Amino acid sequence: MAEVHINQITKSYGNDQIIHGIDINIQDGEFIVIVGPSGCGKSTLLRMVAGLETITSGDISINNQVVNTLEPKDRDIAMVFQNYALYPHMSVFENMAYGLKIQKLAKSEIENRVNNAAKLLQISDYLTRKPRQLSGGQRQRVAMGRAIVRNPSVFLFDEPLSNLDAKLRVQMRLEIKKLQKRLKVTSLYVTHDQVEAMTMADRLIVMNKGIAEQIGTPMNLYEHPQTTFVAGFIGSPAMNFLSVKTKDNKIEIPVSGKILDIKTNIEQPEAILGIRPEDIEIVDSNSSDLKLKVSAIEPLGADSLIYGNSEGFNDDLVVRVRGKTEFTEGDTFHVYFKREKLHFFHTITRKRLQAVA
Amino acid sequence: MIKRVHFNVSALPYILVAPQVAITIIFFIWPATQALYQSFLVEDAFGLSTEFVWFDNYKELMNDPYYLGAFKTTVIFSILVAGLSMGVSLILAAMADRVIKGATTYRTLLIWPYAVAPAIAGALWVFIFDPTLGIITYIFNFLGYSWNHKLNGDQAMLLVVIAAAWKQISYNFLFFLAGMQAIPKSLIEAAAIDGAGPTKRFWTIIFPLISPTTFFLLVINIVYAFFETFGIIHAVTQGGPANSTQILVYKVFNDGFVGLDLGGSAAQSVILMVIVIILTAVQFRYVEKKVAY
Repeated sequence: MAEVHINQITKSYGNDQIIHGIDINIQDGEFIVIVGPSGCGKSTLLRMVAGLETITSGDISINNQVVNTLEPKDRDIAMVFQNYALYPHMSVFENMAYGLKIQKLAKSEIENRVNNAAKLLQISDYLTRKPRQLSGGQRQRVAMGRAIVRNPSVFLFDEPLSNLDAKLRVQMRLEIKKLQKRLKVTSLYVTHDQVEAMTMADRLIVMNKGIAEQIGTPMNLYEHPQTTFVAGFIGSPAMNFLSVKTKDNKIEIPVSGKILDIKTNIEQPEAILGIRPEDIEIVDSNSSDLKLKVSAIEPLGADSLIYGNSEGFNDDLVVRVRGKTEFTEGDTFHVYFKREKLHFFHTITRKRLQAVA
Repeated sequence: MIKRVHFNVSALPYILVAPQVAITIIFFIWPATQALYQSFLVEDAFGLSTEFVWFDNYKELMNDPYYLGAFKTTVIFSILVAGLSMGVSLILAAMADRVIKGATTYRTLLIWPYAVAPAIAGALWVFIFDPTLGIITYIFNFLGYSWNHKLNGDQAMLLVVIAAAWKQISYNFLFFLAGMQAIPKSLIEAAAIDGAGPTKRFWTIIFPLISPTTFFLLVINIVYAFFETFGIIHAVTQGGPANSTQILVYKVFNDGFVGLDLGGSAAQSVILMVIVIILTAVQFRYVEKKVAY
């Protein structure tokens, strides 16, 4: 049980600064997911909290104690690694008991804790096995168990599910989430998978190039992305972006020249319009905002994705429709953008504009 | 099951293996057979008469206190050499594994001794420890300790052990380092988070995980101490003083080429051959299979 405060953290390797001042305040028992593309510094941030990387400047405090110079073992944390990092020469029991033995706990206490954790994770039957005799999912559970038995203040997860196959990943992410809710331990979870991030997080931190682009609840980030990066990263398929002209408090869509019937207070002559694939409707020509030609179709079962293009567009516009679609490649269709679902961003700063007056 | 590929019968495969087979026969099988044959003979020093005596040479060796003494010397020598060189290289490798800056330079320097010929290595240590000229001897004298490996058998043994171990450290170091670097970093980090300090991590994680390497090196080092240290012994002590550093290999040479007892010398080399066959078999049998996890 602990609060974690990360205050103006930076990290440099020589002259390369890879983390540029991050502030996060994590409440007791909160499940925080750090998500971002590879190389954004999310793992480095986690490893700094763990004490596996030095901190160039700033403070990290756990339970209101600054831990910058503390050894990992003195930070009261437990970490689950991407490759599980189980000790291959020890049995499952020994793996889970290793940290407890070092703490010099009584033998009965160690057995008690390991057996309880094993029961919780349903690995009681495997306690005498070596890690190599376990499947990926079982190893994952052992790694979790090793973290749980120590009763840490903070759990750290470094992409723990990325070595599992898709089905197991979905199952395990639910289990981790449930477990965390049950144990109520403050958790910091790093992933590059935005679905994992959305489904597990109490609050989400989207990182890009060493800065935290936005921090908030998953739905908050989905509905009110503060930058084009967050808008594009959260949600699948990604949000569509169009360059639009703004004049006289009106917005003009390129190519079709359609003036949207909403008022804006955007001062710049140009802006970026963002609209999610699920917020685009297919309509007849009367209420059309834009006419598109089908360039590809992806049936997903419950939904279909229609990729539409128009001359003057660099990228396809993606439209999500329920069920299957009658369209085939080369067909033309009209789309309507749901007005209340439009997002506007500054063309240069890529920051959100409060467009609608 | 390994799937076997069948080729049509032709002379080509035989021609291709012929050079290897020829080399093996000429340089290994033939001399070995000769040694075996000679070990059954007694010859006078001038080679004028030869008598076939069956196992008399072996019987004589088994009752020869000097030979049994050399056996004991060899065992002590091997244990000390293997222990010292592996111990030192394990420490060096454990430290090199943690070095970040200048790691390449450090490693390259550590590998140099391996490139030095045994006789040169021996000569080097003889100079350093020379009773009248040596720098270490000078320091010892200064500290009030008298060093003279030409008179003191224990000191002579210590000197050849140091010289032989020093040469082998590079080799051991390379294998230990490679073994340590093959251990995933996250294991060490996990142990650090679990609360283990560097020493604890070494003994509970790193050392058990490199045990296959350790076992392999143990066999290699014993073989080295048994068979490849002739040059060092010859350059440093010539087996003396009073046979205190006379290991089996050196005794083969001494009895055969200095003492001109060819039969006895041949019998000794046959015994050595058996030992090396056993050691190699042990190595193949266990090193390939014995993995700790």
